[in-house]
Amino acid sequence: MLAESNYSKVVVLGDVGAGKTTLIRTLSEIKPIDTDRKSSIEIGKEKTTVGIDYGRIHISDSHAIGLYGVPGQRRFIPLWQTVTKGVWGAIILKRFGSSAESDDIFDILNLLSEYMQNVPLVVGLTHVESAQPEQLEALASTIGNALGELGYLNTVITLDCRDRRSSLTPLVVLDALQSP
Amino acid sequence: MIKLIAYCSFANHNSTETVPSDLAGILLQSRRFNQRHSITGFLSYRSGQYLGVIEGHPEVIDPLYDRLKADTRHRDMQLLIDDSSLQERLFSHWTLETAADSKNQTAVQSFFEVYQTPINALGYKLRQRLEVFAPGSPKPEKVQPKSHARQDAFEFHLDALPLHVQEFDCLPQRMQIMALLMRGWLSIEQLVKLSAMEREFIEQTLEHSLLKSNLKKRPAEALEVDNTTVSDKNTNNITRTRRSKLQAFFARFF
Repeated sequence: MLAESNYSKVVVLGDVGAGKTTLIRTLSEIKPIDTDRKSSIEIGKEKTTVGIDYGRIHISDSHAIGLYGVPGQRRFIPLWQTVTKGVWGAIILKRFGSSAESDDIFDILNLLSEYMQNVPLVVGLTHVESAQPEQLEALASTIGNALGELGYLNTVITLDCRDRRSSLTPLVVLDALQSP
Repeated sequence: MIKLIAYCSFANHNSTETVPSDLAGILLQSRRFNQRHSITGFLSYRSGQYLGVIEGHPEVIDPLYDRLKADTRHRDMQLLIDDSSLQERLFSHWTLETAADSKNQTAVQSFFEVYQTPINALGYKLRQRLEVFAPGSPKPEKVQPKSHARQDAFEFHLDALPLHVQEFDCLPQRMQIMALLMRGWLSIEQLVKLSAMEREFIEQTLEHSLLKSNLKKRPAEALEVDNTTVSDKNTNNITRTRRSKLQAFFARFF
């Protein structure tokens, strides 16, 4: 059992289909515990996460990063409360072009500032392959402004959750944000 | 878990002979010891310099590294890589490699390939020293000498992380510089103090095209330095040891 100081807990939040489970699967060295279930509504994929996905990255004998994927919808707030203690950083994923629940990211940011104050965070824009540069810039700018209003640094980046190197980038950002 | 340490040093005989007279003794002694203690890696000799890589269990590597530091057959030993996060060995056995013996050069090449990014982050003088061991590798980019006083007349700030930061060779150290710049206006001198990184590396990062286009610059005398921002940096909520372990881990992927 690792001491709490040697265990960095990272919460991965995001709207439906943003890539939380994929990110954890890509990064985790253990077989992630996922809680995907068949979706009751049309979300562009067969399954969605209804519980907490868990994965782990082993840094050294005495240090590990734990990844907790939590659904972003407001009704899952009780789940958030089970993982918010001692959070080292938060990754918020936003799927580019998700129109049905496009306001979810702002809902998540508001809830985050309420439930995980002072936790460094990074926003990853996913599924950006078909995005026009100006559309992407506009989305990043809107989210960046929201981050600024909530007192966060503007850490909006693009992300490919299927790629290990790309998926590690938000963790490198979170590490950099730790030093005040 | 396997620990790997890489170092370079100068042979202590003040010559650039192809094979130093000490080498036979080193070879005999090292092979026996390394086999007994399951140490793998290599020792490379070029033009009066050694490049050594040792890997094995930490309880063996740490005391061995201390003994190597005290060995009088070489001098000016510089630590290049200290990586405690290897899941498995990079090298299957321990080898000695000289300019006259090309069959083991794959070990040296493998080392430079795996640790290319952290090696590129070393200071210019160290990278220049290593050039002799990696003849195929590109020469380190020489930073044009600049007037420090002139550079320090400016402060820099970053409003946002570059959106496509993953296209950067996003070394943890570069990201740390960006995080500092996002928190306030800082001169290069302040960045050196706060990050404990080499000035050349910081200047290279600021010159990087992906960062440069987003970077704001203003004359230092125009406004007072944001002292709150600077003093806040001194209260680290993560230990340096923990940070260096994380950085070493991340650096393996970038």
